[in-house]
Amino acid sequence: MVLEATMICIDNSEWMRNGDYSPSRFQAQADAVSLICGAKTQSNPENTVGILTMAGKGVRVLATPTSDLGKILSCMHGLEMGGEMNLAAGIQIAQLALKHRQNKNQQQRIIVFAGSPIKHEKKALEMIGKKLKKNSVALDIVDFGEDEDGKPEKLEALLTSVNNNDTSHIVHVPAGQNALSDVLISTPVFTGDGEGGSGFAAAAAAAAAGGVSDFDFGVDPNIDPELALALRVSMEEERARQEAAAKRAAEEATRQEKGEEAQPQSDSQNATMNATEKASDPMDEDDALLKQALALSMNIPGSDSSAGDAQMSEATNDDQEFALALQMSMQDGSKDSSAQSDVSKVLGDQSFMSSILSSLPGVDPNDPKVKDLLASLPSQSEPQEKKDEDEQPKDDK
Amino acid sequence: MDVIKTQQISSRPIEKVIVHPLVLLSIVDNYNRVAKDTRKRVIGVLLGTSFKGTVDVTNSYAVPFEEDEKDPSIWFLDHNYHESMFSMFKRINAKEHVVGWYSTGPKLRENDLDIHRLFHNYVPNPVLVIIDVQPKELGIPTKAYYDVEEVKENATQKSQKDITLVVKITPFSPANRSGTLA
Repeated sequence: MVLEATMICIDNSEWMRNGDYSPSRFQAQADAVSLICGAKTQSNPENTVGILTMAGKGVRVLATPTSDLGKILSCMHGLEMGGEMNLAAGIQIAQLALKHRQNKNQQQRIIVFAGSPIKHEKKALEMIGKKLKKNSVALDIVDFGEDEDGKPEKLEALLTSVNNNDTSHIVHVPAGQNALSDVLISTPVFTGDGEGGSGFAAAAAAAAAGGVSDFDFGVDPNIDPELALALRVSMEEERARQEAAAKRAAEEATRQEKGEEAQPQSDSQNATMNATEKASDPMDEDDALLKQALALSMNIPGSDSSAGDAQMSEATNDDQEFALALQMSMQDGSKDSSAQSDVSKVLGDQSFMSSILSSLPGVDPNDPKVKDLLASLPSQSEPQEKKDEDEQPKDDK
Repeated sequence: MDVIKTQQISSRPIEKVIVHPLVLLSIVDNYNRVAKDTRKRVIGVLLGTSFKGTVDVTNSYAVPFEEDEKDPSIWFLDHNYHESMFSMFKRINAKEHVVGWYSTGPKLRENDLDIHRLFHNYVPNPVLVIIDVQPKELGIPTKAYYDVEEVKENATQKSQKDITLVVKITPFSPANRSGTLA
């Protein structure tokens, strides 16, 4: 968002009648000029743009640097072509006009459209360039139209004499399919000194090219940074929400398993009631199966947390608010897992377990096997749940 | 501008230019502030009325003007400034029109004709008044000119002739108005 005062030097000489740029060189130039004016005023509302014509009866200033876009566009209207371009006079008068800019803090820039042959000598152009450099005026040259011997060299010489810290650029636009303005959009003429002042231009290009843009969500962060940020945050939140939902689904599944644990226990109770001798065996089988199942479920929460961690780091890099939102969702997850652990604590509670087991007719709490079982229960409580889940579908089948 | 007035202006060549003291004072003051010890000159617009060959200059203001010392064909006059300024002046006194322009000279320069041509956009018959801000002799420090088109063989060519218009410096008084401005 460089604060800039720009003077655009238009070539309205006879050479501009040529139609090798559609619809005519002059029209292509006019489109490019209006795009540049729009881009400059959009990148910084205090920017001013002025226009002068170099050919015709003589160098004529159509508009002194102003930020009123309407005035600039209206003075472009009804221009006549004729005569020869006077590049040196045009640039010098542009420099004088910039000297009288209202806001002295604005950077001075001249954009020259050189479409016709240049009759000045290289030396003369270099002198002008040096004077511009002394007054810290940046110069952008658009070389298009007539391709005469020595023209690129002269313009390059002019550019090197003006250039100071790479603030000045030259663009060679050959005739062809692409419109002059489209080619210019991607050049430093529009994008300035590395600043993203091309938001307007990029949008125009996107509209022209049919919505092809390099930016996420099809919104240029330069045009509408708030919109782009909002879109990004909502995408992340959606992702977080989905994962939280998945987590909750997994938890519910595990809770269901815990809920079913009572059933398998009652089943095992029945089983033990029926099979007095093999009271511990079903439990052991249950344990083994449950161990496997719970191992699986443990992996899922584990993977969830790792994904959550990755997301968290991403979030902290991107957005503070978003990080906060994720933290909250993570807390929810952790709450659930703590709930899980609560349940497992309950299961692991030996007294409780022993009381349950003692209620089983075939089980003797003092049985070493049972004691082992009790000891391993806390760690196996979740495997138990999963085993039950596996059992249930098996039973159903 | 009235239709009648324009006819009168274009039909009668200018014979007399009356410069009011306020104009002289503001021009000299501006010059002393801006370009006193330099070789630059100050240029501005003259406002007033014109009737039957007599131009009555009642007000003036300077405009941003730059010219290249080495190359007289390079000059820049901020006409946007002039247009804005004139529209504001018109609000306080609708009878004052642009009648011409002034330069602190001290003499005529090459690009004066080009600048004069620019003022043809604002008034059909502009008058140039050269004010000598550092007069060496006693007398009226102003000289007024207008341009004349000379047809030279093949093409028309504008040239400026030294028309020593009778320039009077009169203090403003109702008697001098003689019903022209009323």
